[in-house]
Amino acid sequence: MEVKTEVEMKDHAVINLNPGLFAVGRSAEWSERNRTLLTDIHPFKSELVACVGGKKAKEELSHPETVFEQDLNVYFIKWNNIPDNQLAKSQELMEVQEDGEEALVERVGMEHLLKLSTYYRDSIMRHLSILQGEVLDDCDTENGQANEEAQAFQYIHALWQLCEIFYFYLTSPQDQVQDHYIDWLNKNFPSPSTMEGQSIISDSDPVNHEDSPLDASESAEEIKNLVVGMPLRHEETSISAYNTKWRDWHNRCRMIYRAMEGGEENDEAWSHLHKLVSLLQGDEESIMESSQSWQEAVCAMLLYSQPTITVANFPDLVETCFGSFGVEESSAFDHATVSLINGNLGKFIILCNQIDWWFVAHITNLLYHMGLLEELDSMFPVDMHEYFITSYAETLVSHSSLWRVALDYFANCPKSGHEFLEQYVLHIPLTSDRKTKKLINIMAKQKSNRDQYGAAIINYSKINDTRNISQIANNLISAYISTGDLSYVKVIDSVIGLNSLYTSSMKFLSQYRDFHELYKSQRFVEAGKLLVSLLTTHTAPRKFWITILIDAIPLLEGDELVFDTFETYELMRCAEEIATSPRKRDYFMCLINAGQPSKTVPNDVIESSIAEMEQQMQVLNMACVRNLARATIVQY
Amino acid sequence: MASKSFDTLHDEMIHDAQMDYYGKRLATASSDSTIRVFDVDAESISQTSKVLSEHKGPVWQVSWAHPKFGTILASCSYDGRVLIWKETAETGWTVIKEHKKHKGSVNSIAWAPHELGPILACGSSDGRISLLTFTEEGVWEDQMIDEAHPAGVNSVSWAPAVPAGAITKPGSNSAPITLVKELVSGGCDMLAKTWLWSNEKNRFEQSGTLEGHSDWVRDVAYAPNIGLPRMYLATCSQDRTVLIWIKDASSPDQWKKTKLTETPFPDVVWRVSWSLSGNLLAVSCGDNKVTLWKENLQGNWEQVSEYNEKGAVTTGPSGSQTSGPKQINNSVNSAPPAGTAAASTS
Repeated sequence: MEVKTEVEMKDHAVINLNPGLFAVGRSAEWSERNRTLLTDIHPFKSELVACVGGKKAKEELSHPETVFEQDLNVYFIKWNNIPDNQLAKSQELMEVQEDGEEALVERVGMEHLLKLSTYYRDSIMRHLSILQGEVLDDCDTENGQANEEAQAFQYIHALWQLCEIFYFYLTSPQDQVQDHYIDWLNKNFPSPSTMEGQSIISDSDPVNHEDSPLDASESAEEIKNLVVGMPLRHEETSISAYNTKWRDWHNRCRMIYRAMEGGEENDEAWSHLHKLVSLLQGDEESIMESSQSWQEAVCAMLLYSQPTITVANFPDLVETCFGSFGVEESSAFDHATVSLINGNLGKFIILCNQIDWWFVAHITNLLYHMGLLEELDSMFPVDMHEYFITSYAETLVSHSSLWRVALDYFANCPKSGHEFLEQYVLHIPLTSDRKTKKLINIMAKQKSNRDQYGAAIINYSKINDTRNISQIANNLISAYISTGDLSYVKVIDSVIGLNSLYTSSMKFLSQYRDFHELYKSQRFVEAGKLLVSLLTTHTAPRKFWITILIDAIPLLEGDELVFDTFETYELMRCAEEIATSPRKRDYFMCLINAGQPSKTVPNDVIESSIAEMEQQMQVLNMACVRNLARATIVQY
Repeated sequence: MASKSFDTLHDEMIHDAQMDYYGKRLATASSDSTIRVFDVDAESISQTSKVLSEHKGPVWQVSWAHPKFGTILASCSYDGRVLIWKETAETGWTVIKEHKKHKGSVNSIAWAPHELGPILACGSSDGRISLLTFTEEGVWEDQMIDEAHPAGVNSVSWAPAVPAGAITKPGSNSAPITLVKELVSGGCDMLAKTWLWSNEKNRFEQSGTLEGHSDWVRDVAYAPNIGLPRMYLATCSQDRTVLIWIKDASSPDQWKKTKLTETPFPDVVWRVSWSLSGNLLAVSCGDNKVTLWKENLQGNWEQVSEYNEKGAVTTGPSGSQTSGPKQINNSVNSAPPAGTAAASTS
């Protein structure tokens, strides 16, 4: 018989099971009556098995025990369960991760990281607008879930953008904060909303208020001009122009405020105006009183009191506003915002971790690539970057569709990802060909990232992925060009014989290695023949011809005659083909860039390298001519 | 939060329930002397094979071998015997080995990490631990560790075969890793002891004594060590405490002891179980709770969640209607609570 059991997650991280295994309040009694609880964690999912367990064996008990039905039930309980209705969203956010990582592989500096960051934010916004749509659609049924989620994503976006502002835009302590902060607040927490704004406008017209005494309405007119005439940073061409205008304006506010002193304090309209002017002249107390949140108070202070505040002084202002709004009532989001502004990244990350796992994994990933996590290394015993990514990925493994995404996350962790990957991959039951292929592909990709090319090739060959095998061969070729080291190529020895991996580039690599072996053992004639055959059979990629031709020079100049006339002609033909090719410069560049991976080669270096190679080609031509003469004499 | 349950149809109390390597099958051991094997999938749980009833007394534990050795299940019993079962398509489950060298109840069994080959460790009330190995010659050999815990062995567990910190360097595929062959046992002498294989002496030698509990040690469990430069070991006891023992790769002879909680658990702690990556520990206790623990960023152990009988009080039939899954909430709640005091959100 099946017992319907519901498990519910409540506040304070308690998973409740309903009905419970034991009768309420009777657990002590049950414990005395030989019962305990047994558990076993699922081999790889966020799931466990639990059941009532007998502590002693039947034979060890003095009285026979009665066994109840609930003693014999086994329960499967999941945690971190991502429900199916959220699947699409999770996947959408995942895709960003995948695309994003591709960009990161190139490690091309802050500019690209910023692009990546914006990309993430856009996708959060897209997701948010879908959620907000759901909230509106379901306004009758009170869709609490979508609402909560929308709020969480709003927070996530706000923190993400703030991170961007302080680490991409405001990088100097002297940078001014006002513009960025106000933009940030308006974008993430628009207040009043458009609807509220409309109602405010239509509601009252203080200037023409019938009941106002004369001097109040005069003041109102003046104040209206004051508000309209407030200088705004983006309307001014320079900071100093803005500063001057703002000071003038501020002085006018203060004058009006002073002029109003001793006025009709009992009159409601008048006292409203008085309050308004005190806000405009930047009175801290009034601002705190009138603001609905500390974020809003910060904004008002930036507008009316400290418009030119810099990054260096901003944290003090934020602390003041935050402090006067009651630290006890603030949320993890508030604290995270303040920590970020204070530059306390360690605390910021800990708080992000309380907000959302997806968020903390991706924001630390961004911070990591910006090189900002290094300073935190000593603070925490774990590698924060991979800790959060692997923790998040582990929550996805359980899901019937998201496991693939989880493995991709693991694959993106260079330090520990491989071990996670291996463990999880081994445990995932292979139920279809497609699944098997995908797993092999992931493992191969990971191996190739870790320079375990041999194993990667074997994996790729299992699924006939010649494209990736060629890619590995090209990597090895580039590695040779840059280091002159061919020891890497040894890895392919272990896999030769699997004919499916005999792609042309792999074949070239293997034969080119043989050339070097022959050369080393001074079997020059054989080496020379092999070298020429690489050119004549088009085994060598065109971009590699220059290298081969230069390799031929010592053979041409040696004591022993290596190349016959035909072979010499072939070398000359190839040299000519390069020299007259419209892509000649590309071929040179290819060698120069391969020698300098990850760096942009300065122009003067490029020019001198090209000059040097041109010179070597000249040497080759001369050597070919001399060799041709020698060969002709020998042959005839 | 999805959960499913089913009736095992055992006649007496259950002593163990273990999932296989893929989480597709569940074996339960009972005081009714039988073992039952169930197929588990997303929709249903079904008992497809016959009841395994070769034991003559209560079955204490079952242990699934790594699938590379076939579908193999070991069981140990109050009858003093260890049975090794193999399932084949033709004959179903059959006993392929009966191990009866123990002179008392066999309380705990554990298969070694698969890298070490098919080796089963068995702990008995006779105070001894036996190691049962299926050799390359195709025969079973056994070896005894005498007087391991003279008052009785309650639990055995194997250390991960790959030493901590061995493969943390990317691209380190050159030198073969020396595998670790070590196990831990917990006993009625209130101790946990580690045993390391000695190639010279061709036997297990005691390599450490873990003192810290004040009553019988009930369960011991080495954690898998993915991506960490240290080794974790959990022990739980009738003294109602759980201890976490940590050993750094840099100082391999020193276990550092940490209490999982300062206040003891409300009742005897019966089982400790690690997740695949070793970063989550499940503790089950006689007070009817399973709690999940995770080491936080500062190196302290914090409770991730617990599940208990409270649901019966707080939610009636309608309560279950509101228990809709909330992804954001769940991830907040189950995130490792890594906050400092200042990070408190309440």
